[in-house]
Amino acid sequence: MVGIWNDFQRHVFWKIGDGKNTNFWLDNWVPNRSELLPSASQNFIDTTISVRDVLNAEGDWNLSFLSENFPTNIVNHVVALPTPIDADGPDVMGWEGTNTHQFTVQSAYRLQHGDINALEGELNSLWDWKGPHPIQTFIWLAAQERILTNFRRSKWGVGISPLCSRCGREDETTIHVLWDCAYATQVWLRLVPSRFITDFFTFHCRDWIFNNLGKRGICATTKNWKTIFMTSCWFLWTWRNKSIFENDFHQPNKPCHGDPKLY
Amino acid sequence: MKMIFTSQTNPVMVIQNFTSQIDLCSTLPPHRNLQRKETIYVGWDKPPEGWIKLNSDGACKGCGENSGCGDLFRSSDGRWLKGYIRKVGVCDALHAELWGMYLGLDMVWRDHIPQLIVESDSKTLIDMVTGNCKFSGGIPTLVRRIRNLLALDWHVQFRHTWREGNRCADWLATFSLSLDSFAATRLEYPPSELHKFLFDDISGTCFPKHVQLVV
Repeated sequence: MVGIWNDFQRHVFWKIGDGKNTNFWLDNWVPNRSELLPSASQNFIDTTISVRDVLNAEGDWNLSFLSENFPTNIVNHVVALPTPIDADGPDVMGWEGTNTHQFTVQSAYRLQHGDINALEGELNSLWDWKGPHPIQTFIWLAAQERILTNFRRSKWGVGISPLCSRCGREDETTIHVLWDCAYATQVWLRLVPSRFITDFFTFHCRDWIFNNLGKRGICATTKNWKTIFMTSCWFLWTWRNKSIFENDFHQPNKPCHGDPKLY
Repeated sequence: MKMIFTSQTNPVMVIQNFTSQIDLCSTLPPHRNLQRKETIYVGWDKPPEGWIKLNSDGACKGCGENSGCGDLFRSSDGRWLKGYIRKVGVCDALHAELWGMYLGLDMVWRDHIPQLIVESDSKTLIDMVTGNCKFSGGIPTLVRRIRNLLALDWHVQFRHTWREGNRCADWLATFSLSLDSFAATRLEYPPSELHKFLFDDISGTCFPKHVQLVV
């Protein structure tokens, strides 16, 4: 805690009540801005004053003090805040990283490292799809490689095999279940129009998914491709689960060319 | 019988059938009979005898870089009593509206007005101050201050109106953006540009508004 104190304190936020316990220059109290010290336009300042000290006799913000010490945009930020009064009670400390201002380790990690989990890609193309929500959510998880494949489970403990339960030959990663496994490939070969087949198989999971939700290539020329694509991924995963967890389930295993009028 | 058998064992057929069902659903107009468009007529109406009406609004320009608010008070015969405008600084639209309502309530409480109707075109704002919405992480200072004012010994009613019924306050809020200082400015007489809107309101002019009704 001592080692990371500076990083921690940078994200402590003060919600102003009576303004007496918050340091005007050094604490972080103006929303969407950090401490005010780096914005000071004077060389000599008194860093011991509280927020309360920056009011005039009438209890309004001391505008002459503010405009002497800051550029206009900072002044405009400060004056938009209600002035501290005793009735508002003491100033309250909060954590900047969450909406509730409660500290969580996760939010601290995110502040420290940036939001590395943010998913790149055209998410709108996923969410504006009109179809069952479970399928939508599944594709979203798959694009982040967050579905519970054997490969992912094997990372969690000893004794879990990372191999694919269908073919038993390769690690079951997201991309393996969804197209690399021989079973899945057989299905895709019968769904993807032949002239797109060479471009269809890409090894990067996220790119592969978003390429098939977009507006170019296969999506531009094949009617309902987005729906076919999402439904297929979802079925491939559902059948895989059912064949593991339901004893009497037989996954459809006689792929042959489907309804020719879809091509 | 053979058809059913093959369609269940052929994964490609299962997928294609499912896909065509999804597409069938998405091409049907959703809730065709549930939504009805209607034109309503919106205007400002006078408060009842013995009540004062406060219209308040906020304005926000350039993604919150310049915000302001405006209030006006009118009597039951629609007469202008006074107005307040204030340039707020850097804040979002909701915060500017909050400032408008707080400023108006604070001013009118000092004038010892016993019965007040507050009209705003922000439903969110009214829900916030009347306690119809939950806050995560503490109540914002201005909301708490407004609630403290409401707890005092007087009668305050809230009404939601549409933008078309709040044109005077809207004009004042926009006007406040051109002020030089951040001090609240009291207007004893309406600015001449506002006369037209005040006249519309007092004569009961209404404006058509298209709304969607969910039956």
